[in-house]
Amino acid sequence: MRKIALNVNDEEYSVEAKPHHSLLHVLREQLGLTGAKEGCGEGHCGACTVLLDGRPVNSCLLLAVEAEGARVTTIEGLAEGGRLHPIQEAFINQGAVQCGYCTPGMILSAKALLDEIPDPGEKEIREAISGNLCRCTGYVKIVEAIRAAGKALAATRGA
Amino acid sequence: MPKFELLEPADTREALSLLSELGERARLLAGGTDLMVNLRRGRIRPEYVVRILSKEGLQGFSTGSTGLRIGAMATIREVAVHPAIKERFPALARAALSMATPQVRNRATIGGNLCNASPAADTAPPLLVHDAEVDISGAAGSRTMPLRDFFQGPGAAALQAGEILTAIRVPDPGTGVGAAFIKLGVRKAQEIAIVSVAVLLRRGAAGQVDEARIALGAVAPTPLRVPAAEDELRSRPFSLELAARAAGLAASAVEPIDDVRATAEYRRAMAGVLVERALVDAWEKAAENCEG
Repeated sequence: MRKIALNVNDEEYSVEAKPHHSLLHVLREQLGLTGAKEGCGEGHCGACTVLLDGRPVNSCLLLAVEAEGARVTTIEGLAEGGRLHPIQEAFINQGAVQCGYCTPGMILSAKALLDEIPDPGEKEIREAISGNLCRCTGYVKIVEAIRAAGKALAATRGA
Repeated sequence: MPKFELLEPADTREALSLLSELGERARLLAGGTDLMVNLRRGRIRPEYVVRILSKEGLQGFSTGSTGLRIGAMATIREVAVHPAIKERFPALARAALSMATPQVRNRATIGGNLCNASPAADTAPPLLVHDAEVDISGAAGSRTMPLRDFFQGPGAAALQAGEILTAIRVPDPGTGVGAAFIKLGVRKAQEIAIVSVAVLLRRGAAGQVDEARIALGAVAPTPLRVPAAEDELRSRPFSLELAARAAGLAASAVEPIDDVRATAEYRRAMAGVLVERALVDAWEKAAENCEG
């Protein structure tokens, strides 16, 4: 076992974990944060996506020890004071969620994009979610939701 | 995830002594995007995974009078967006951006991409046409070798047990140079190349080809240069006919295989098509980069 200090959603955690355990495993099994999912376990599907210092990574391919010293953001960290994040609101309003398995990863990839490019075009949106696979409904509603979220965030900033 | 013992040496020096002691029993962790998959699938079963705590000297970019040094643990994303790479080595930036997914590019390293020695490694063809060299360190000392000699077969790089790839050196291309990269896949994202091509041309004052370099991926046991096609171009005035002739020679030089992604026949045909396109593209870019 190895002691690992993690900063997840702006909270400090100290966990005893096996050194070969992935960040995804520690998040789900030790911190009880089950928003990130294991899909393929090989870095294709993006269901395990979390943000590491603001950038999307596959938490299934990251040893938990590799996240030491970085800020980890999971889907649980997006809502503030009981209010959903504007990207979450947009996914609901645009009907961009079906089974929901890909949704946490999609939303975190969208957040990384919108933090970098506040008003992205369709091409940029599609590139940003190219590492997140949806097997239910297709990508049209998801792309619309991310565009709507960008506009909502811009309106908040302008106000 | 299969069990292994995690070793965390403080720096490269400490890592080299550990790796030389443990040999085949240990694997070095870089971005982990291939290592973790290979561990999980049981393709490799090391007793130890070595994670270097201080990446000093292994990360970052430095530009000097002779060219660019890329730390082997620079991420693929960093390579794709670095201003000096986008400006001076656009074919490399483009190849990096074509690789995998945003999530993988944020972790995967350029050194990992080369050390895994996939015939389809995306960063290999552009680095080969730029005559890149690699710095290798071992417990006994350091050496530098041309990237051309680094690839020895599918999955086989010219690293002795216990050696680490520390940096990639790319000479400055100079003026009048144009480079192009084309990757053929059935989809745009998350694709492993069916064929990839990089071309570098230097345009002489009289409209002749002063220098020509062509590299291909996924059409032979290693990423490779095609000297016969390059010789055909050198010192001749550029024309579409010349480009087509050189492309034909490149297609004859490759040794593709049938696999799930494409047949050998298709790969050979596309190698010719893509080399021709990349030559035209690189020649136009070379004209834009001529002084005056």
